[in-house]
Amino acid sequence: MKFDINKNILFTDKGVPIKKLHCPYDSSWDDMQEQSHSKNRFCALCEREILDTQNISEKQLILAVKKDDKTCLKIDFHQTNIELVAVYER
Amino acid sequence: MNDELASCILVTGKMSKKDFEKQDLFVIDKNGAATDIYEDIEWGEKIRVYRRRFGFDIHGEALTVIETGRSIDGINAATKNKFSASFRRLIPSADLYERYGVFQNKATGEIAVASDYKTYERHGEIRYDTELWDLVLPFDNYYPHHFPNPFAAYLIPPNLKTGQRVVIKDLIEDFYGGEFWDRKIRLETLEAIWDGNDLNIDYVPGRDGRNHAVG
Repeated sequence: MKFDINKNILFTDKGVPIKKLHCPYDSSWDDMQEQSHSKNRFCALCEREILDTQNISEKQLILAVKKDDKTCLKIDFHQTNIELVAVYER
Repeated sequence: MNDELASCILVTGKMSKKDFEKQDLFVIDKNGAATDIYEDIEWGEKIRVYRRRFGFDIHGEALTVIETGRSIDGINAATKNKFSASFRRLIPSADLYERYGVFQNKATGEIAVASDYKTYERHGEIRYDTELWDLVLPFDNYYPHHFPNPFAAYLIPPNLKTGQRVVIKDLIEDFYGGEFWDRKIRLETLEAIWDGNDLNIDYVPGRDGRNHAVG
């Protein structure tokens, strides 16, 4: 997967957009409640579990977003399964 | 390339020198060496560049850490060991002031402090409806950070070279690092460059303080 750090869009390896990350509260992962059953965290503002994309495959992620397009994701800029991409206009 | 020290970025399209410098990027040259010299790079389609990790140089070496003396005793101890002291006054930044008001519940008498009639805390939205709560102390702004003295000094080791990039562990100056749930973040650490006389702090709003995305 690839994540465009300028536009906050997550793409598949082939460049198909999966989701644009947008949080109206500009929330931070560090302040969310940890979950005992997974690496995900709970955002109390939207009362949603935020999916940690660190150990998840592209296929699993696409399925999760297809099932619920409001699924919130967390992408660490240093995780190894997502390549950071910067797209600049010519 | 050690993935622990640099994350890879694939650039499509043309990147300007300003973009390159602003995002703290470097590339691997034909000889396999890391370089941040922009002029040597022919920009085009699909250039593989790397983002330098905070606190490390492009070769993966940890940067020198600059300590801060916040007490006279601490500064004197450092100068006895041949460190020089680069003094700064503490000047509160208007960007870091917080808002507060005091509410009292009309029925129970309970006191609560909040930044607005509607606030966002760790466990969700809290409302102070005027039917239930009185604003007994009107809203005002305050500076929420406390330090032992109105001045402090960066403690410069004697062997620092002109142009050397370092990490400042405990920033004296205020740098705004974003907001979360009505609270403003004061950056604690940033990198700086020693120009032979002073430290020039490398702060880029929008870049510093951001290491992940949520949404």
